[in-house]
Amino acid sequence: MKIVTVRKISQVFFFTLFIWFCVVSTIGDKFFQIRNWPVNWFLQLDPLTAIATILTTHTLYWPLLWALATIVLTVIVGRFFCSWLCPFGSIHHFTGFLANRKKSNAKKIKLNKYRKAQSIKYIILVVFLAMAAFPSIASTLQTGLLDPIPLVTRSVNLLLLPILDSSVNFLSVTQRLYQGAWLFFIVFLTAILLNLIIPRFYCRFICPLGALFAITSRFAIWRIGKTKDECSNCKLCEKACEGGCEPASEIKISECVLCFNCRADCKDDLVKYQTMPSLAGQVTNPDISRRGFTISLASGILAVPAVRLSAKITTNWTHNIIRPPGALDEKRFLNRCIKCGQCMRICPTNVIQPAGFQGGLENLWTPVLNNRIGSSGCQYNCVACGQICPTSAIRPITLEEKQGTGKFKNKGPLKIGTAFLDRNRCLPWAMDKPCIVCQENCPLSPKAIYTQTVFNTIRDGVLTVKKSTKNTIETQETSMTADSFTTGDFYCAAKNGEKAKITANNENTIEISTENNFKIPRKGEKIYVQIRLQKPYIDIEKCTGCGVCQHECPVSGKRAVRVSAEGETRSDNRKLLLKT
Amino acid sequence: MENNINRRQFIATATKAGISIAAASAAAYLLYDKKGPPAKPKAHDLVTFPDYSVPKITGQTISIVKGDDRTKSVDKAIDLLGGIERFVKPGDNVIIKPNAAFATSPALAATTNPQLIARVVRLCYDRGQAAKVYVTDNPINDPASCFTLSGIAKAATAAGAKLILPKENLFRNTTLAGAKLIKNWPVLYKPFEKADKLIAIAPVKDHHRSGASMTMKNFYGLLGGRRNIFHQDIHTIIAELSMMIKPTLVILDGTVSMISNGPTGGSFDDLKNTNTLIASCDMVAADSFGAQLLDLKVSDLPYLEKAQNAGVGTTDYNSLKPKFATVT
Amino acid sequence: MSKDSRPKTAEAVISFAILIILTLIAAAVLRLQANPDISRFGIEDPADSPKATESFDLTSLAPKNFKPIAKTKIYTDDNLYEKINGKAPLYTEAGFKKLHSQQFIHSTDDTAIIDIYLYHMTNAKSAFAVFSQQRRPNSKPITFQHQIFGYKTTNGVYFIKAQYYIEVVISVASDNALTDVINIGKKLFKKIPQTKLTHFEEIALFPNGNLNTKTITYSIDDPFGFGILSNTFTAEYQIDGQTMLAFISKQQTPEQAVKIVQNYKQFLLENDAIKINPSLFDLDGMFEAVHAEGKFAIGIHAAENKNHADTVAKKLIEKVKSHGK
Repeated sequence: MKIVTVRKISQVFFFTLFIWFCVVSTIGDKFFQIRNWPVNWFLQLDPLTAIATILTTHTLYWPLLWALATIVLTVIVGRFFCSWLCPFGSIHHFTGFLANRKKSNAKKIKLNKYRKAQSIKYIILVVFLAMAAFPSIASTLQTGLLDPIPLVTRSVNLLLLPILDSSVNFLSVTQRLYQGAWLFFIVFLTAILLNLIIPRFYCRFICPLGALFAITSRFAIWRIGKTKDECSNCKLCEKACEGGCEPASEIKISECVLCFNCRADCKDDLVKYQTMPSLAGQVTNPDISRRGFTISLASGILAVPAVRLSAKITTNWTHNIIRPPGALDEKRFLNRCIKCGQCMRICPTNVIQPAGFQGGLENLWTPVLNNRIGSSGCQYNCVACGQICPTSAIRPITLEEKQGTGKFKNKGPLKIGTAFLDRNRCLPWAMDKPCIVCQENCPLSPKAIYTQTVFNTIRDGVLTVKKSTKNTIETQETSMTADSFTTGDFYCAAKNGEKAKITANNENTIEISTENNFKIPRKGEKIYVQIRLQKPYIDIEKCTGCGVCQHECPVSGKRAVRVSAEGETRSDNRKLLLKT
Repeated sequence: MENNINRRQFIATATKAGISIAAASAAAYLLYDKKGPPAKPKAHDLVTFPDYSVPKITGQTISIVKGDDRTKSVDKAIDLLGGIERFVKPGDNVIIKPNAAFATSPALAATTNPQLIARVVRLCYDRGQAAKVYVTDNPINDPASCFTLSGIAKAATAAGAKLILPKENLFRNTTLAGAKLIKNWPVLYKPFEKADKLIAIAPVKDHHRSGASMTMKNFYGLLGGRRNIFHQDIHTIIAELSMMIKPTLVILDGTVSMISNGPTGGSFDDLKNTNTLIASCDMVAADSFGAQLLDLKVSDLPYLEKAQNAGVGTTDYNSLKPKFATVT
Repeated sequence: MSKDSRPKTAEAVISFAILIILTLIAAAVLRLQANPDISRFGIEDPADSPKATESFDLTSLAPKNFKPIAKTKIYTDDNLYEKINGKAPLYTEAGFKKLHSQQFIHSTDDTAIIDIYLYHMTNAKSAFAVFSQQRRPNSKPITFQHQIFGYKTTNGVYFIKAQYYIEVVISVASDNALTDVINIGKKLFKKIPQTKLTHFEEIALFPNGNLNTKTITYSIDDPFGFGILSNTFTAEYQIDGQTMLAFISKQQTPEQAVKIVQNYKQFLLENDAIKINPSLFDLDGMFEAVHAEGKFAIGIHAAENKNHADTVAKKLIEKVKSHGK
């Protein structure tokens, strides 16, 4: 069997596996649900994630050890990842092939020639790693913006699957929604469409992971090379060259993605995969000048403090950046989050959303809770996001830790924020309308929302008795709307404050319940039509910020109860209360 | 021949590859983290303030001087306790902690009087033969403006002291043993680290939340971070501050007291000439006496009792046999 | 050299090796997922929730030839409806705490499924409430040791012990099946700890003649929907084919009992009942009697015959009165 065929099989295999892992990332134990599918495997194999988190945290989080296998294999055989395994690479490979298959050989050869601009990816890599590497100034993990594995993971999970699933609702009962997914769309579509201009455009010019592989493949023991210096110079070996590495002349080893097309396309069988360098010469070093390197390093180092001048993670932090339960404090969180979107995918209520720019530049596509999207707030009995997080930006907490039970009893429940009541928008507080939806939905026991009952005289509710019997009162006014007081919330109060529930009314009579020995006012006396209200209050000591109240609040625009990140357990400097 | 070159080249490449793999594996092994990150970031190395107090001399713990001239009053008050020489030894580095909380004019008496500071600085140099005198505080308003507008910067530097602004890198975290509130909390530490003696100088001020701001409350200025959270339990924090730091000497300036609208004041109507200055080795006693100047009783300021119970000092200043004097 | 001379052996071997690696990866992935355990995610397995501290392993109760379908599931207020759907309010309103649920399936006949429901209620009274309110017609009483509140149908047993209400039902009707089910019931009965005997004083206060003991029912709130009674036992009487319900509602104090009776009467009058004597009313052709005796509010509801109502009411009053002495 030809090696090129095996390469194609491998690409199809890994691409299918990758898509399957995306599909099954739903909570559940059916075969098409999460079970024990190793859905993070591609992210774990990604050495850029591993190296960048090593730079930011000075540790290699154990699941990322897989990346070592990738590195070792790359050192031995070259950039196999790009043409054999990378799902994003396979997409580019395939679309590039589709776009250019009808072109003449001469045109194809021209398309695949090496370009100086291919060094841009090294600059991107250096900038990202420099941003991660200098903790004394400030470090941040931003590789996830362009690292192909997180990029394709979130594009499939948070963009393609929700679109495809919208008509069948196979993956979720309700449509999965992701705020700002249009930006995923633009990035993803642009990356794909660029293949129409040059095949594997993203891989050749942008991909920071490819750049990392280019550097690690310098010493590859096996490499592509010509067995003769002189050949017919037909350049057919470059007609389908995926890396743009020019095997016909001096091959750029760092650009070669091991597609083996050159080997298959050489009429004279002069291109080999061998331990010997090409007899036509080879260039092993990535094409980046010292100057280019220094400039990108310096820009990377300075970029982080520049971004941090906004003080978005210190004093000027954004109150509605509510992180999932178990998220590390902001500084350490940003040192680990790779923006892969796995937490947003797995979240059963869809409440975890990709952040836009509201929390600062670094926050883009990191997880935040938006209680207005999704089917509920953060569920009391769920720790899925931390369990799936590939880098432990969200720690894999247990239910015990989240709920503050068992051995976490002393620590109390984990707070992700605090609900604040907006008394200017709350129906009972601001409009005298009965509503305790937030209280009813608070999942805690005892509830963090409690109520106090008050009776308020309604507008035009002071009436004068014209005639009264045992349980009916006829008023002089005829301004009431028939049956409007029969909801069980309305009471008829006498001057002394005693009251009885109103059971029926029309324009000028009120019927009241007689259960309370209410003394019926006589002719000429005033009565007060009152509404019984249960006004909600939030017990700040108990509230965990889960957002179920905000999700349920019937004031559907700007909710009357809203969660804000103050008081979140993860940051000591965002405490609200002096807890002793 | 060609084969030879190839072999050598192969060995070179293979060696480099081997080294790379070994290096990568070694790095992975060394950095390998099985546990994952802890819930909270690693705690900072904690610091504790040195003890600046001097040995007690019975009957020379607290002095109370009546008079309207701060310079004369402070001279007298310190002399009554044995003179500055008792407190400052030749070659000592002395740090002075004024109350520079607000960016307001010294005339409004919301901050420690600059002439008083200047006088104490001179005493340290001239009679105490201090090597260097420093002045520092972590004010509420912008630090540079506070020191400038309060006149402290000018007066202190003119007298030869060095002003230290509370830069972020001067703070360290501390935990007070047995404390409820001061736990792993940033404090203005670096300027104090090398000092031998600490003299704190505070005005007598009404304080809305705590009742009165005097020598004990003055040490609130050592706290960094979002310290206003402590206003939820103000008396405990003041008592803990008095446990956290042991000054050489405190000077409570009640020559003019802010009797209302504290701690900012803002109007001359808020001030009253109470013509009293206290020097004391016991800040609880100093503040207990100072309370009178604001027409307060010891029981009106719960932090006094708390500090007394913690063994910081006594609210019964008479038991210390205060030395009284009047200067004109 | 023609292209067709390829592939060479080495290439074929490497190709083959790579394909084997891919197969191994696929196999490893499949193996990994073959053991689904999603409890670490928390959400769908309330059995792990700390609320369910007290736990019964019901899997060991499987009769011969039956095996558990899954491990014992625990349901709480939050998800009880998932298991028993619309019946959930019946339980939650009566003081439901949690449900242990276990299913067994027959090893050869997959239509034979045994369902065990172990409802943990607040107390014996709330267990009796759910037990009595859904008592199956045509059931036969069953006793385990001295327990009296239990019955069987053709395919299930239903009983209470301590604060637990238990149902064991099988999906096929045969004598063997019923025996299996009864045996499970017996084992469970032994397994459930009981600190004191379940005894409701009210039940003994219903006069015996014409009493249908199978109809004794307990409601925490008003069984008739009047919103007046609470903590009420009811029992059906049948005289000459005409039925009525007697009720006993024990209150905290005699004063409260009087108040309840007043409210009851007032309610009747408000609904246009005709007063026959101070404690007997005609409500749309049905007869109501109500009386306060000590802490008890007692009476007759929906009697079809005035004289029968009067007779049973008098007996009831007498029995309650003598109980007080």
